[in-house]
Order: sequence, then C-alpha cells, then structure tokens
Amino acid sequence: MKRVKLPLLSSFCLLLITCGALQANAQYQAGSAAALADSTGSQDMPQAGAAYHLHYIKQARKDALGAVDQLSEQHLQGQASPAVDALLQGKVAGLRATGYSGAPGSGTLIRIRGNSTLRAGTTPLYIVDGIPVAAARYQHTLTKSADINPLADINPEDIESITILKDAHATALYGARGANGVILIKTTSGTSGKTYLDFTGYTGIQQMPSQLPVLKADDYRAFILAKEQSRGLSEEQVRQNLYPAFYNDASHPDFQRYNNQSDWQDMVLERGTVNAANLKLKGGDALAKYAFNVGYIKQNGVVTDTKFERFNTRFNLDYKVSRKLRFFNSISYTRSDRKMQDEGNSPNTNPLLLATLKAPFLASHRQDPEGKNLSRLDSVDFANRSNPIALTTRVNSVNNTNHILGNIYAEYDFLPGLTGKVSLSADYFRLRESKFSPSVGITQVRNIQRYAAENNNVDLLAQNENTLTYTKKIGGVHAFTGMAGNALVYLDRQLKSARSINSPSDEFSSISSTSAANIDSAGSSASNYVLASYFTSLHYGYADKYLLGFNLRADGSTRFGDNNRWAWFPAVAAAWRLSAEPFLAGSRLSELKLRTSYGRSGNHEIGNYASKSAIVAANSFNFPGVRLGILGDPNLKWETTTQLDLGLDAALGRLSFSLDLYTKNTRDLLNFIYTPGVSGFHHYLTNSGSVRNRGVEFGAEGRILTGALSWTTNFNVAYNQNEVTALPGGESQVDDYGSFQSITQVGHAIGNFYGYKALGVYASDADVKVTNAYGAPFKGGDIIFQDVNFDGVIDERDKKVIGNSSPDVFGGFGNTFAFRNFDLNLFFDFSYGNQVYNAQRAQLEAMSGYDNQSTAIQGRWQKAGDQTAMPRMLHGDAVGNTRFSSRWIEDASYTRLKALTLGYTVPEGSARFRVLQGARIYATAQNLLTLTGYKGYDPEVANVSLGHLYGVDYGSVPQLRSFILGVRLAL
Amino acid sequence: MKNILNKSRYALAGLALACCASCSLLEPKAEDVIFQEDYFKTYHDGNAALWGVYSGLQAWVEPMFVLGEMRADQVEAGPGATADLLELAEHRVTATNRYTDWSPYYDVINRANYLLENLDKIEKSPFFTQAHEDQYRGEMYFLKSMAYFRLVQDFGDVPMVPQAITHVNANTAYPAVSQEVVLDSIEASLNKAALLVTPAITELNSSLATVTHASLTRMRGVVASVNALRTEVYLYRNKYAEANEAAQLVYNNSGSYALSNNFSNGNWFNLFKNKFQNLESIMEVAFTYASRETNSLQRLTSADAGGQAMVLPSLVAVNRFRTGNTPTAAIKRDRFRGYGASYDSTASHYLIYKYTGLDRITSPGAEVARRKPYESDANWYLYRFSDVQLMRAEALNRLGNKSQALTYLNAVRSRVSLAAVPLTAAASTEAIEDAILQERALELAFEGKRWYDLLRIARRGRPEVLRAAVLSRVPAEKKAAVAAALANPDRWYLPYNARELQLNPALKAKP
Repeated sequence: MKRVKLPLLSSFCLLLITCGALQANAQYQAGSAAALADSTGSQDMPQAGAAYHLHYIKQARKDALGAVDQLSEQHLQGQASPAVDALLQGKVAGLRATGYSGAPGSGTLIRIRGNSTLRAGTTPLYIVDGIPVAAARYQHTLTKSADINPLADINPEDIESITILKDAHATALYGARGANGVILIKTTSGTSGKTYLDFTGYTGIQQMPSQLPVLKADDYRAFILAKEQSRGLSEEQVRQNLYPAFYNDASHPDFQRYNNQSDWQDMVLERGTVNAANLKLKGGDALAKYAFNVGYIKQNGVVTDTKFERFNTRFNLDYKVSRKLRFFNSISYTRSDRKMQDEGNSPNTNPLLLATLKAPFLASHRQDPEGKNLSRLDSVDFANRSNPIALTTRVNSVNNTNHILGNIYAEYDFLPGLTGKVSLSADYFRLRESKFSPSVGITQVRNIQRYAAENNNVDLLAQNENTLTYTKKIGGVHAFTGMAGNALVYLDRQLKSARSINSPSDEFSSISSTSAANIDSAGSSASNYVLASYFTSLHYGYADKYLLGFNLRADGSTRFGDNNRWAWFPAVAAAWRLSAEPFLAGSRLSELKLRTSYGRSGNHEIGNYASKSAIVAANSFNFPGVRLGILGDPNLKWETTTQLDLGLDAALGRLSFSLDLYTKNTRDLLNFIYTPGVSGFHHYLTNSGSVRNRGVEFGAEGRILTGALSWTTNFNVAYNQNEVTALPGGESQVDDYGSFQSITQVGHAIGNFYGYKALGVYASDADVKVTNAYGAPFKGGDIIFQDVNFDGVIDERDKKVIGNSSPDVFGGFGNTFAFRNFDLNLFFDFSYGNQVYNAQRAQLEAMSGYDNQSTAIQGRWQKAGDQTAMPRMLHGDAVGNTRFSSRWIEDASYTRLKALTLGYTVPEGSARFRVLQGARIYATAQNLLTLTGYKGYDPEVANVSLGHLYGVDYGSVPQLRSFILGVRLAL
Repeated sequence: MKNILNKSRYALAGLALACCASCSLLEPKAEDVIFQEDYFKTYHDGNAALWGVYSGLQAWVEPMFVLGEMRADQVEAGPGATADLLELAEHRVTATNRYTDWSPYYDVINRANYLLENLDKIEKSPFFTQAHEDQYRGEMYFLKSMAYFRLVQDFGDVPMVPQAITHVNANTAYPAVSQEVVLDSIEASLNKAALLVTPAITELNSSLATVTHASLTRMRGVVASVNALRTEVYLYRNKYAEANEAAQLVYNNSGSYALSNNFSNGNWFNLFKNKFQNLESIMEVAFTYASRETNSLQRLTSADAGGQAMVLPSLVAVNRFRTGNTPTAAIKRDRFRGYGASYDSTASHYLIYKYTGLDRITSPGAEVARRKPYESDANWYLYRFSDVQLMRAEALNRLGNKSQALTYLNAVRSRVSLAAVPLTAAASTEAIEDAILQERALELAFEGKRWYDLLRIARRGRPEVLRAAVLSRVPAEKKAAVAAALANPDRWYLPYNARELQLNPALKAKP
C-alpha cells in the first residue's frame, strides 16, 4: 500500500496539468452542462431526454453511439429476487444469464456476446457507483461446486439503474478489463425537497418444480437381484455376497434395516421460504441529498437446512459545498451468511444427487424391532453410499461474507463546462468458510473419518480515479465533450486455510478440537496487482445529427510481462440520426439512428504472476527446499478483442426497435504451451490462439394499447456464433474432465463435448458389425456406437463433437397489462440450441452397480429382438455402454414463464390510506411453467467450476418455483 | 488564472515524478512466490535449492519400482493393475504408456543444472565456504549421473540437456545421444563428483561448531553413495576392475557402513522399519507423512483401503523364498527375509510387505504395526550395503577371484541365518553369477532392482538368463509373445513417449 501514494500524487499532477492546458485555450462560454443534466427518471420507453448512467460521463440516450442497454428501477425493484445478477436474465439482448443453482445465495453465469476466452476469466466487469467490485468466484471453496456469489451482497432494492456496455466503443474505455462486457450499477441517490420513506417487503414459499422418478424399494430389490443373477450368481450366492437381510426374512436381525420404503428425494427436501424487508429513506434539500437504505433477506432452501441470510445497509450522500464544489459519498456494508451443501460430481456428499442413487429399502435411522426410528443414524451402506440424512443433518458447511464498499469523490467546476473529478474508493470483501464433515453415515475418503476445515479469504481493492471533463457547444450546432483521466487500481488478496482430521468424536467439530498432529493441512497465499491507467473520451455532435466518438485507454499492469507493460485500447464510433434530417421531418419515425463502432478491449484475467519465472517450494523430508517451478513468459499480455458493431435504433409511433450486428475477434488467447519432458517443465502460459464471436441482437418495445387497459411489451433475442480461428500449432486440444471430455478445434465452437455418438441399441447379437477396442465385445442389448471412420472398430478415433453448452438463440419476452389500479406482468425467458451433459441420468441409467436407478430402466432390452432405446443391464459394464456418449447429452432448450405478477396500486389520496403517499401489493409466481424436453431437474444448468463446459448436470438444485406476496408502502 | 498557471509548473515537476513512480509501480511484487531474479543470495537460498533438487527424487520412486519389477519375474499384475502395468508385464509397451514418461529424471537434471549455474552467486560465509560449494557441485554431478543412468537403462539412447531451462524461449529440442556416449559422460561426471564430495555431511551449528548429520549423510551424495553408483555403472559396462575399485571406496568408510551383525534374529526387517538408522543404509529417498510427502508404493502394493493391489509378488518370488536358492540343494526357507518381511499373504493374494509393514510379521494372524492406508511414507533405498557387496562379488567373480566373490555372497546370507551356497571356487563363472543374481533377488526383492540385474547379465552375453527368468512368471498363453519380444535386444528398452515425440521435434521415434 505504501507505493500507492506516489501515483496518487501523480494523478493530481496530471489533473492540474491538463487543467492548466485547457485553461490557456478555453473561451468563456455559457456551459452546456445542462444538456447533460440529470435524467428525470427512467420510463419504460426510451425518451430523448433520458440519460445513460455511464461511469465517466453522463450521456443523453439520443447521443449514444454504441450498443448500450439500461435497466431502470422498474425492471429491478419489486422483483422479489435476492440477487442482482439473476435480474439480468432475459432482459438484455446478447446477455445470457444462466443460474448456477437454485440453492439460496447462488448466483448466475453471465456471458455477454458469447465466450471470447479459453483460460482467462469470463466474468464481466461490474462497477458499482464507480467501484470495480468483486464478482469472480473463488475456486476450491469448502462446499464443493457450490456458488458463493459475491454479487449477492448487493441488494437489488438499492439499485437505481443497471447499464450494460457491449460494443467496442463503450468497453474500450475500460481497456484491459472490458472484453467480457461491462455492467455499471448505479445505486439510488437522494432527492431534494421531498422526504420519502419507503418500505418494501415480501414473503413467499419456494419448491422444487419436480422430482426424478426412481425405482421404489421392491423394484430396486428386483433389479439388483436380476443384475446379480445376470452375472451368473445363484440366488443363494447373492444372498451371501450381499446381505442376508436383502430378502424378506423377518427373523434376521437386520430385517428392519433393509425393509423400508424411503423416498430419499422427499426426505432431503423441504419447502423453502423467502422473507425480505427493506426500508429506504430519501431526502435532502438544495445543498445536500441523502439516501439511506437498510435491507434484510432470509431464504431457506429446498435442500433441508440450507439458507442464505443477508443484512445490508447503504448510505449515499451528495453535498454541495459551494457553487463550484460538490462531494459525493457512498458507503455500504453487507453481511451475508450461508449454509450450503455440496453440489456437482460428489455422489456421496451432494444430497440431491445422492438421494436419487441411494437404495430405497434403507432408512435414515437405525430402528428398534418394532420398526421405530432410533436416534442413531444409519451408517454407510453396502454400496458404500453415504446416508443422505447424515448430510442434511450433520454436515455443517457454512460461510459468511463481510463486504464494505466505500466511495468518496469531489467534483469541482473550474470553468463553466470544465469539471474536474477526483475519487477514492475501496472494496473490502472477506469470505470466511467453515466446514465440518462428521464420521457417521458419510463415506470416508482416504480413511479420513471426519474433518473440520476453515478458509479465510480477504480481498481489498483500492482505487483512485481522476477525470477532467469539458463540455461546450459552439454556435448552437457543434456539441463537444471531452474527458481525460487517469486511474490506479490496487488489489490485494490473502487466503488462509486449515484443515484438521479425525477429532475424537463427531461432537468435536472445530479445527482446534484435535491434536496438532491431526492438522492435515494449513496454508496461505497472498498476491496483489496494480493497474495504472490513462484514458480519454471525445465526443462531437453536429446539430444532433452527426455524432462522432473516440475513446482511448492505456492500461499498465503488474500482471503483464516485462516486454508488454502497457496496453492500448482505442475505439471510434459514429452515428447518424436520420430522424433529425429535414427529409424525415414530420414522418412517423420519431427516431431513426444508424450507429457503428470499431475498436479494442482486453481481458487481463491472466493471473497475477504468470509472466514471471518463479521459485516455488519443493521440500524434501521436511527440509525446506525450492525449485524453479514456473516458467514465466516475459511477453505475456492481455487478450485483445477487436469488435465491429453496426446498429440501428428506430422509434415508430408506439414501437421502438434496436438492432445490432457484431463481429468480435479475440486474439492472443491465454493458453498453455506444452513443453517436452526433457525441459523439466510441463507447460507455460503464453498468448496464442484466437476466437471469433459473431451475432445479431434485436430488441423491441411497444405500447400496444394505451388508455384504460394498457399493454406494453418488450422482446429481445440474440443469436451468437462462436468459432475458434487459431490455436497453438493449429492443433486441436482435448481436455479430459474424468467422466467426460471436451475438444477445442479450429473451425468449431469453444466448449464442445467430445465423445461417442450413440445410435440406439442392438436388437440382437446378429446386428453387431463392429468390434469394441475397449472392453468386452458388443452383443444384443448393447449401445450402437457410431463407427465414424468406418474401420469396423469402435475406438478413440470414433469420438466426435456431440454437444455444446452455449445456446445459439436466447432472449426474453415481457408483457405488462394495466387496468385501472391493477397490473399484470408476464415475463418469459428462453434459450435454444444448447446441450447439457446429464451426468445424473448417466448414473441413474447405468445399470451396472448398486445405485438406485431411474424408472426408465424398466423398459430396458431383455431378450433378442427387443426394440428399445434402453440397453441391457450389465454388472460392471465391461462393454462400456455407460461411456461418455451422446446418450447422455440432451437438448436443454427451454422457454420458461419466469415470472407472473399481479399487482394492485392503492389510488393516491384514497381516504383510507391518507398516511401513505403510495402503496402497492403484488403477488408473484416465479418459474411457474417450463417448456422443455430435458429429462433432469432443470434445463437451466451452469457449473461453477467449469468455465466453458458449464452445461454439466450432477443433479444441481433447479431454479425454484416460488409463490410470493409483496408490498410496497411509501410514507 | 495566474494562480492556476503557477500550479501547472508544480504539476510539470509532478509529471516527471509520476513517470518514475509508474515505472516501479508496475513491477510485480511477489508475495507468496519468489521471482527467479530475486533468488540465490545467501547460504539459505543455496541450501533450499539443494533440497529442492533432492525432492525431485521422490517422483522417481514409482517409475523405479514399476519399471524395475513389472518387467521382470518377481511380481505380477494384481486385480487393480492398470493397462499400462499390463503392457509392461507382457513386454508390449506402447508409446502412450505413462511409465515411458521420463520427465521425473529430466526434472532432476534441470534442477541440478539450475543450481550448478547459480552456485557462484551464493555469498560465501562460514556456513557456505568453497568446500561447501565443491560438495554441492559434486552432489549435483552425482544426481545428474544417476538420472542419466536410469534413463540409459530404460531407454538406451537418450537426449542430454547441457544447461538449465530457465526461460520460455530456451531450446528444448534435444536429439537422442548414443547410449555409449551418455555412459561415457556419466563416468566422467561421476569421477568429478567422487573428488568433490565428502565422506559425511557436516554443517555448522549455531555456535559454529561442526556437526555430522548421520541421516543427511544417508540422503545425499557422499563418497559412499557416489561410489555405489559408480560400481553399478561400471558393472553395467562390464568394467569389472573399475567396479571393484569403486566398491572398495564404499568399504573404506567402514566405520559408517558395513553388513550388520545383528540380523540373525530377524532384525533384517529393521532396514524397512527405521529410516536412516541402519549401518547398511547408503542412500534413501526420504518420505514423511508429517509434511505429507508420500509415495505411491502403498497404493500400488497394498490391498487395504489405501491400496489398489496393482502389483503383487509372483509365485516365482514367493517360491524363491520358500525353497531356498537352488533346486538341487534343499536349503531351509528364507525365514527372515521372506514371509512377514518381503511379502505377506492374505486369503486371496500374496502382497508386497516392505512398504506397508512397520514390523516383521512373526506368525500368520499376529497383530503387527502397519502404516495407515493413506500414510504411504516408506523410504526407498537407492543403495544399501548388501547391494554394493553383491555387486562387488559379481565383479570379482568376473575378474576371476571366485573365492572372494563367494565369501562376499555367503556373508550376505549368513547374516540372515542362511547356509552358504553349495558352490566352491571351482564352480563355473556363470554358476557363481547365477547364485549372486539369485541372492540379489532375495535380498533386494521388490526394490526396483530385479529387471536391471537381468538386463545387466543379458547385456553381458547371457540373454537367456533374462528370457528364462521373465518367462518363468508369464502365464502359458502369453509365453510365445513375450519370448518373441525378448528375443530382440531393442525391446529390452522402452519406446519414446508419444507426447515427448510430439513436443520434441529433434527426437526421432525408435524404428
């Protein structure tokens, strides 16, 4: 931190120099700052006077040059959504939001205009009131594959607007951080004059939309018996191999244990609830304006004993010191607490996955001879599966975040039109995780009976930003805005972790409750980076008809290699407002604008020290040892995205449209170069490879009906095509994730699933024409795998692309009807052309082990001549019917009624509510209806630990069906 | 106005400052890593880098064990064996077999080169004198030689990497060099090492007194370990006189190394029970669960929760312990090195016991201390005294000094209460060599030596010994294929790894 002081000083210096230079040339003119005055509040329809809340400058919508979308308060508040990222789903053309999980406190995978990286970060840049906030996820959380979403710390009720920057011109101003898109969040500021006290609150229940049909106890028992017999065992041998109590021998002491009818899904699930309350005080006078907000939400998940609880408070203050000097402060504090369960590929600790696999004739607890549950949980079963109830009642996996955002900035009007701004801001984010996994009922890994673990992660981001803005209008037709500035960002990250194993009993659940010898691991890591930047933005408008823009940012970062310390990101944009031309005067086209922009942005999520060769620890028999462990490329740099955007905005009567075409080429992809073994290294990171995203975005809004019954509608849709255009050495890269593989190839999309193509099931032995390179020969009842290269052998060379996680087409569709004081809103979102690897079904239809199976296996192939899509059961699966193939890849396209809301606004001035200035009550049903052919819980699948192959479903918690009642009272 | 102009003058000065500030500001500041350029200053840096080279030996243990045993007769593939292990057992190794990955050896070579190139940067002090620098240098020559010797025995012709790879643009395309050239270079390098290393590792303690570390001496390159390797290299090249001389240098440290006279009551297993404590220990690759430095030996050899029973003792090995060493003379079974020491038996399998046991099993079913399934931290012997003594016997036998060879051989046997072999100096050279080979199989069972012993004898003009030994373990239906493979001496070596061929354009696949 010590070094930050100097650049701060230099920032001021630059400010003063620029100021002086402009001073020399400036002519005193009546400023046109008024042209860029505060918006009068957002409406459903874009209005000529409305402004975009951009970070560096405020811009009237009609002057916009790029592809910029803004969501106003109406889209954000009263939506009964706990997290801001979920609100973006289906709202913005070209922004694809996919929920990671329906578990409380989980977030959303956001992709703007496709995927433009292989190994660097994919998260957009989030800026809240000028502060770049933590949004990327921590890897290796204690709760496996669960999403601890830092954006859940932002209360949607605090937000006034969200602006999404997509095109090169807008994102170039964010330089090396802009390539994944930029999301600007502005929180509510105070008002002058009137004082408002707003209370909002809602309460509701949340449910799993469906459960998966699995075998009941008797069918399961019959299936296991049939499978064991099919491997040549007699009934007597099965009896001996497994457990005597497997059958209905009531005299056996274990009879009770193996003769139950457990619906495990039902047992691990409960009804979820959500309750939220929010109080907002806004007010002020001509000199000072303030907004104070306190919010609380508690959500109980559908998986038993999971929860999310958030308390947040925010205070925004605008203060006019003099005619020329203004101060703006904001500070917010958020505390979030979560209790979670593992998700993802953890069949013994992910309750929802385990519940479908667990033998249904077992019970959660041991029982007395009368069959009554004793307090003792049943232990790990004969198939080495955990007890799901041990997970939901005994595993303690909790975490909390403390999140402080602070910002202060001063604006000074040097001259009319010339304003300087200095801001200081900080984002402090601490995540503390704690987990205890007991011995009882949980399958041991590496003989560790029980363990306790703690992680403590602290991020501190500090930022100084200084800008100087000059606005001038000459002769009434030449409008000029220029901005120059510099910024300095410092991020420090500290991680500490400890884990102890085998405490004396399950009652001792903290890391300190064991002997020091049982501290299994203790670790820490620390890293930092500095980003120093200079930037400028120039806008010129002629008679509101011709608009030109130029943005430039230079970013220098400690992350970049010695030979590439500075990155330059220029962009230009032009627009022509035909509607302001005389030849269109009086036409019904109230707005017609052609836009184009071209420029660069970057992605600097390449790791903090990846450009440096580093010495790492290599102890030998506990003697401290080191080695040269990392080869750093001194040429390492950011990924560069060059984007061309063509756009059209039009308003015709009560309709308005927006159309964008883009092509986005990203080069210098962060990538591994593999080195031969003789080098002593395995790989190093460098920039190599490129990818292109091309797409179309269309948005429309309309007031179909006005009058007593009004109907407004909005619709957006986007198509994106992703293609890898170069890779190191031109090769394809196959990545192995254990149970599945992906391939990255030139000419194909990023994140393709790579496996065998399953064509059906052999009806009889005689139909088999190919040999099996890996495993026993194919027979009747086995899967027909496609012999891609026609060589008569099914082997590695027959693998092909069998799916992709990213949709081709996606969007949203909203309708609002109003009649008198009632309003009805229907909002749909949809996604088409994406595939999901249904890994849960791969286990539920494996028919090779002792896991419970889907009821679909009842239709399996049983004898020669059977025509079915379900293969034969085969203990151990020596043939490989369960191998990763298109059998498990499903089309996850869907259309969903995301929200259905009916509201009633109490008429103002109605006698009964004289104390109130306004009141509204509403009822919302979320995720009421989903149209899909997907067979798992939910087609909306994203996996937090898999960047590009996020469509992998290990029974993740689906988006919940919620029924919510809400109220808003203005005092 | 004037005021602002004045201010801008200060600002100009400020700008110059800003420039400089930015320059240093954008230098990455390390927190939990150390940048290459900031390292190698003090004694501690050098010492840690030295241990860092030795830590690289830990990754050798799995390939040494698997390649040294799986291809020979003392083990067979267990129920958990991978396809790669089966390929080795059946001598049909393909280029994608993971055990053809030679990077653990080149990793150590690179670490050693890196230290050699930076030793002169370390500040001299009483803790790090010229003598220390020489010792370090000798140790690095020794470790590089050992790595190349492993490579040569496994692959024949291999690339030689003359300098450390320290940056991304470094040349990593090295062609294979003829086996004999590599061996010449190993000899030369070991001769230098032998002159540089000390008999024992000493360090200054905090009061600047010299302390000898017995355990460090058994982990690092010293006179005994360097000469044990020299003995083996010379023997591999059939340079018997040189081998004998090198072995003599191990004997010269007789105060520190000798055959134990305390093994007759079953204490032979102490070699595996204790780390570094034994007079017979020359060099060990050290592991300790305390710092989670573990190996894969338990995973490979044990059948309990921490193991997958991938490599099991063959019936050939078990019978060797049970019936003594020659079919003609029934000698009582090998009580102290066989069951309960080298192997264990369960209802369904024989299991290798050296790496799971913490005490000798004296009778079936008796409770004995064993390593916990996940604490696989048995040390791995690179050399021990009986190994050197039997190598010396082998050299002396070939030099014609058969009686001394038999004396050495029988000394190894008598310390575990076994009778002398029924051979005299009148026996043929081959008969004595076979007896020594047999003794090595018993003494060094499952220690990754067996294949290389057979290879050495085969290269000496007796390939039938290697063939007969391997075929004795191979099931009948596979015998023809294995015999055909072993008939070709090129197949005694592994193919180059496919990934290596792809990434190293200078390396050409073997025909």
